[in-house]
Amino acid sequence: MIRMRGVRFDPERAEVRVLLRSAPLRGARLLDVGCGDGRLTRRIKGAPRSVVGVDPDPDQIARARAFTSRLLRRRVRYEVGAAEALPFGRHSFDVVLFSWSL
Amino acid sequence: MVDALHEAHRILRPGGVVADLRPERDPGNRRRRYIRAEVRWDGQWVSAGAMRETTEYISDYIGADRAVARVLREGLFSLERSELFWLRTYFRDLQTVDRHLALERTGTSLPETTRRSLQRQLRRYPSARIAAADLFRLNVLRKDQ
Repeated sequence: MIRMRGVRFDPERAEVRVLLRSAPLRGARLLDVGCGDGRLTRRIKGAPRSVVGVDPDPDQIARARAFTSRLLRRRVRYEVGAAEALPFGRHSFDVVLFSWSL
Repeated sequence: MVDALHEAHRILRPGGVVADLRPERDPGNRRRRYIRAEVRWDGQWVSAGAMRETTEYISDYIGADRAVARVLREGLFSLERSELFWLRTYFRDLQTVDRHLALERTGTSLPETTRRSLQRQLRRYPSARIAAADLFRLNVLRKDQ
């Protein structure tokens, strides 16, 4: 989703609250498929042990990296890749998140 | 979509989960989807009508539902949880709504009746905020051990 002046997406953080309540994110190795510019990846960053965001669009991945602080980069990283051919080995993650991307 | 779920199954550890978060179709008519247009004034939401999505989006949602149903049938996952919730996007003014729809939700239209209703509400409550309320679903699918 493009950042646009005058638009605030989910300021009540309903999406994050539902995810934290219903999916076992705490301490997990999480893969965010179709992460776009990393909006949700960054919002849920506190719960999982590590987060990888993947998206087929290199421009979106570049934006996601730019929006991620140096401190956060220890636990959050981004890679270019397609949902149908994920560049990871078997059993690499505890949780796979499809947010608006299935 | 099914291929993406098969890939998720491959990279998940046994007992791991897929969290599938996406827009939900109208519960009363599964072939359409409305987004509520609202204004927030004095801590309350006032409905101003609906925006309607195109059938192109609906086809995607139906495809995703079918993909989930298929991997459940295949026994790759079991459905652990499914829940609905409202997710809101706030807008500074009506012009911003129009720009957002043109750039971000190209398949969504703001009918004239809803636009007029929003304008009426904003004349009545000049400092009210406009919001689009989307019905969403979260499915939690657990990979079998």
